[in-house]
Amino acid sequence: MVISYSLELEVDTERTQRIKELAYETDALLKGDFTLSSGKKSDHYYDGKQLSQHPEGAYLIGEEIFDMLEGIDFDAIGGLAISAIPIVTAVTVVSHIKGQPIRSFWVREEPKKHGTEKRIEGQFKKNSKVVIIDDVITGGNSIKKAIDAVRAEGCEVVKVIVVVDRNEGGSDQLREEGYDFKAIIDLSPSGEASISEPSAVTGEAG
Amino acid sequence: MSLRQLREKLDKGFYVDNLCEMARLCKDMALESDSPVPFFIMQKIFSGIADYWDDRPVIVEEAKLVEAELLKSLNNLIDVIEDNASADQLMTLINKVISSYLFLYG
Repeated sequence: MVISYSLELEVDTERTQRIKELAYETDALLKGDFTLSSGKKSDHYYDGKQLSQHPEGAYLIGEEIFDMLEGIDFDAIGGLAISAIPIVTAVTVVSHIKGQPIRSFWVREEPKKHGTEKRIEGQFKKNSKVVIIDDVITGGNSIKKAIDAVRAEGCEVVKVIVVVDRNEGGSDQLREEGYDFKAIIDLSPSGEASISEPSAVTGEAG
Repeated sequence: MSLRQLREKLDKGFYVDNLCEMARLCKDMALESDSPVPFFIMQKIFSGIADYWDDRPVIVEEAKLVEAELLKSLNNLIDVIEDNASADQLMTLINKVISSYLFLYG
């Protein structure tokens, strides 16, 4: 049992390391002079779609986040369109393969102007427990939009997970507001990536 | 909602969050105005650029180029709206704004 535990830890650490490597290999992590959505200038940028739309990247992110959800009591996962969509879909697919199905939804940036006027699409139920997921957090505006949208429907946000934390205030703000926040990868102020913390481990020790 | 607020936001520069705010402002002014055309056009331009830039790495030089191409014609358009200029003058400046936008993203 102890040996089994160690092997799983090694596999999970290798997976997270591979996610970080892929972020560079797919040019998801870019260096340059960029203008961020907030107007802030930065010498690095995380283009999450390059990783989440890569076949290995999508699979590994799906597995990683699936494991991060272990032991959490929730009904569905979701996030703000469009960046969160491939990520929550990857987790949903992995969950089916592993026989532990997880439903997912996504939140429109703006409410639909016609038709059903739905802001939240997919396998979503009001007054449920949800995990909010996104590709990156900077100031936290995008995640707050998703959080506000689900809370307006009576939901409880039990956890927030991102692939990359730019460590520019958003994650600190969420923690201060009492959210259980976790990232797969941290970016330093210079844009260097590191694994956020020891990855989730399945199975029991001893 | 006022043109003064729009000018203040234009002065802050072109980035996604500000473009979305300017689009919302123009939409509100279009709804309130008896002559919504210029506000509608500006709303579409701001939201079009915001949609294009959203979730995409925007290099500082690209943002400056877009600002340089559009800012003057947008401010001129706001001037003629404020001056209650003739329909011909208004149309001339609307055409200039649209031409600039199409040069960038047509």
